[in-house]
Amino acid sequence: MNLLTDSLVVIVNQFNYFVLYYMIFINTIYTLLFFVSIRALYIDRQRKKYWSYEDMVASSYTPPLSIIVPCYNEALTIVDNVKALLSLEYSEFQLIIVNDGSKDKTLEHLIEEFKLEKIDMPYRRKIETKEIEGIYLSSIFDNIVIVDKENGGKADALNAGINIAEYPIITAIDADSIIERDSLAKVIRPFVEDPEVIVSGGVVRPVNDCVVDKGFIESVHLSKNNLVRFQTVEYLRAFLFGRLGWGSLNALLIISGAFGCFKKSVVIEAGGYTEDTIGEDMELIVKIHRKMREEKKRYKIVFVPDPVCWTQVPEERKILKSQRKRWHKGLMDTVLNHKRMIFNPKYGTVGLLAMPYYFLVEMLGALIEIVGYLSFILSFWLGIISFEFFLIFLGVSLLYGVFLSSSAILLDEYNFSKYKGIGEYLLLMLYSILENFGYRQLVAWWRFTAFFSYRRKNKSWGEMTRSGFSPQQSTSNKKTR
Amino acid sequence: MMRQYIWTLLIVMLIINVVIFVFLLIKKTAMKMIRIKKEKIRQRYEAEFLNFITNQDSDFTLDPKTYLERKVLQSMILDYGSFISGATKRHLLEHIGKDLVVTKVKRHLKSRNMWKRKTGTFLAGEYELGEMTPQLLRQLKTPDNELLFVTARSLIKISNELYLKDILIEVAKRERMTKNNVLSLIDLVQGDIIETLEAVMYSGNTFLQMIALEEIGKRQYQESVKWINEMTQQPQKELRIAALKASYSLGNIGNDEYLSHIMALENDTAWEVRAFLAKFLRKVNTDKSIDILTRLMSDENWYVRHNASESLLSHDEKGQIALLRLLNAEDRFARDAANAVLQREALN
Repeated sequence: MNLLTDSLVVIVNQFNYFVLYYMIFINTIYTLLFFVSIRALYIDRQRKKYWSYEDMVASSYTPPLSIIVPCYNEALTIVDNVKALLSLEYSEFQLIIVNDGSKDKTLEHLIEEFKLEKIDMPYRRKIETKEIEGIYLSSIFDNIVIVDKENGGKADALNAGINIAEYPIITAIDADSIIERDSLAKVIRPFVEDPEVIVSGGVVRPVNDCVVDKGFIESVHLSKNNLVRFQTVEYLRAFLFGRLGWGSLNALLIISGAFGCFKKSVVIEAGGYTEDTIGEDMELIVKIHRKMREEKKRYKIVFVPDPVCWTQVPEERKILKSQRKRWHKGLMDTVLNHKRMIFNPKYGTVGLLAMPYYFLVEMLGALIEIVGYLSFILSFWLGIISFEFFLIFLGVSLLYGVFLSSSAILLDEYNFSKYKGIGEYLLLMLYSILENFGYRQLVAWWRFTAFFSYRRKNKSWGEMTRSGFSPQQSTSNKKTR
Repeated sequence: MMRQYIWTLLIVMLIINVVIFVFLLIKKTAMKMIRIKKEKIRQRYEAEFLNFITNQDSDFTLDPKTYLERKVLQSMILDYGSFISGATKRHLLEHIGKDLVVTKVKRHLKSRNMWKRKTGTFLAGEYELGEMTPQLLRQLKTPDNELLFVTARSLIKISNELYLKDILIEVAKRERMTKNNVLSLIDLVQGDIIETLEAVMYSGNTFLQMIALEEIGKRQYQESVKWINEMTQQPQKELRIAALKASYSLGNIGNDEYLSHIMALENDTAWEVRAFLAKFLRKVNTDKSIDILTRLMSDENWYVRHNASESLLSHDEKGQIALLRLLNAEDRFARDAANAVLQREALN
């Protein structure tokens, strides 16, 4: 019995050291990303001072753009969203709505509102997709194309849109998302300034409880829902730290599916969006990195912190759980699909930094965190660590978590100041503390369970229920994509 | 020992968090107060400001006294910059304290911080500060592409076409500015610039020739025809494409020699050239043009066929008859494309 206990003590002790070093490793990376992000935000702030937005919007040399909006059962919001997209401030664009075999009246609403007529339009099938059942053009607007196709998932819908796209730059926007009027010009700016840019992405923020009218944000508010508030802090941290930092190192692995711009030819060369994966947005970016690095081509995948896309985030625990589990499985899919890139110097910063980070921190993080909590409790029970040590160690990790979140809020406030009220700012700060007591652990637990329930080649759009946008405050009940 | 370190770390983290919180709170409160004040000033100023910039005869009686009032007026000048003519802008600047603006811009231009220099350069152009021209001209030699672009833009804003040639020479030396960026700069130049563009055409630099040729066509100069005729026969594909873009801007001017030079590109080896030819031919409603477009409908390249079908559609009856004939063509794409464009026409 004693031998067993002694062995357990040794194992737990060793594991505790591992957790300690792992924590130091993670926090060092976060700190480095923090400094890289500060520099990137400073540059972005300065660059805004000598950029003429009006010149760009008015110029006939701003590249035309194909906007692809995949939709599935979006009958409630689709008409408002298409109208909002039509009134974006951009010189020339084509709007491609891909109806991915919706079971509701998405297509009927579009046909009625935009006076659509089905035509036999030839197109180049550069990427294989499910059968297209019809292509519709509007008799009111010249720049709308509606593609009606068999259900094949989001990736398949996006690929169908790419096949139809007329212009050299494409952007994929979720049908339930709202982009600010000037966002397109801002996200395209890197393409105009630097021919090496092949992908650019912007920030995604929760729209819940913001006032939305005719598909545009009228005023920004912090949601009254606790779960959304936690996610708001989380989104700020993820976008202003993670993505901005990795973007500065040209090692960004995720451009949100809700809002990203791509050079069409590059996406086609990479084979388009992958259908048999859950995280098609991350998979595409990693495929592009891989292809460009293998072919030794110069390229840049950039993140622009200013253009904002607003999206509904889950307000119910069940939906959030499902979303996070999907995200984690999607991440695992991509990391495992491209495992040969990890620590491979052939892939530069992507192989040596980003892929190992996503493998060790994002993929295995939740696993180590949950086992670490158990080991800590066990250590306390076995008397390996004192209660005081237990508390101060927990204190340091919590305070560091608060530091990261409050720094993200600080950076956001300093550069963008989207939430005007002081009360909202105080609430955000409060939730950056509260998220460390329960929410963070809950998300870690969902990711932990996702790790063990992960199976390859499992994908679907999932069922969702949307509430329409209206001049009242926006709410979301379900989202499981 | 370990415990002590962790305690120290804990206290340091706590202090950092409190500092961030307090700093943000103060900043947020202060910024809110300033924003409200600025909004009030702007509301007070806006009507007279707009009246002044839209109605030249009106008097400008606003007399900003405080720093904040001057800042609001400065930002209004920048916001409405594209609607304010040179003389009005100068008058406004005198009113809000031009010296202060010049001092600020000079300080920025002298700064060792590249971002500040870029901001100073941009502001010099927006406020049209002619006294900054010598420094901006020196700055054209910068190795930084972004600074080069901002400098060139400001020089054009201040001096219109005066230094355009110097700018183009600098751009060509490095070829690190994209063609569209150079064209967007030239777009800012008002008035006649044919002399500069012709000088560039004689320079022999392909990159600049492409730009100048497109611009000559866009501005519809008489000299376009001569250059288009010459450039359609150049071995560089880029120049032939630029000639077609220029001719697209110019349209059908009823000059047979000009048309025959362009139509001779029907069998060009580069598909891009054939695609631009197909696009250009929508401006030429003749039997020969329709014959060429009908043949291009069976081109091996998709874009050429696509452009040809669009062009045929724009030729009203003649084009539509050609498209109707193509409905029975052996080539499947020609058949489908003809069908599609005819259906689309029916929509309108």
